[in-house]
Amino acid sequence: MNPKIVKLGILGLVAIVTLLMSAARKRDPNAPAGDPLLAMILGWCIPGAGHWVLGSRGKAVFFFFMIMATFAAGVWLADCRNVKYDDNEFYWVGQLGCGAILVIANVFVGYAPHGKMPIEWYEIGLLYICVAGMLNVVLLLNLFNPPPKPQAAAKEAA
Amino acid sequence: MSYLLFSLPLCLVISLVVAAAHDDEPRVIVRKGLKSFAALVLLVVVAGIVVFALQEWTGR
Repeated sequence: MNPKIVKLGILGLVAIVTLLMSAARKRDPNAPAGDPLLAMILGWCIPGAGHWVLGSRGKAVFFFFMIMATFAAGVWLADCRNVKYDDNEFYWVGQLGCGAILVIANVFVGYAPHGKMPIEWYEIGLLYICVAGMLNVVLLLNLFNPPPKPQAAAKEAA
Repeated sequence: MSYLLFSLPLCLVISLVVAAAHDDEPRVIVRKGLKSFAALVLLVVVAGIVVFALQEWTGR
């Protein structure tokens, strides 16, 4: 069997198990109303969109700009190109968390080097892109267990 | 050295995003984020020194 398919299968299995475990955890009764699964899908497509749907508008904008800036910096450092599976499979897996941004970046940027940046910066750019993807995954998991509201936390403390 | 410089903004982004994910109050987010940032930078510096020492020791 193609090793790429096997690796993707293992990755998919880990992702599904992680999602199921997050969804199965008891939700905080003070958590904002809304479907976390829908929020998660939206959040994967556009970073921060999940928090927007659940009502944390300020945080959503903050997360969007942070992750987009990290991703854009990574693409710029990597000589205006995306991560190719053949270049580095680990970073390629990590960047999958960025969702729809990858599709847009593929259309506008592609994989061909432009020769404008030093070649040593390529790996650093890949790291930035990978971290942007992984941070978005952290935010997706956070949708299932958001922090308690300040009033609720104060009530609990009292 | 340049790797350390490149890692600083990354450490800041990671610290702030993770802090914002776990708290709602901006002041708490900044305080916890800066603490995590300091810890991450320290970790990166120590890891850099260890890796550099290992490279020198093994001659690679």
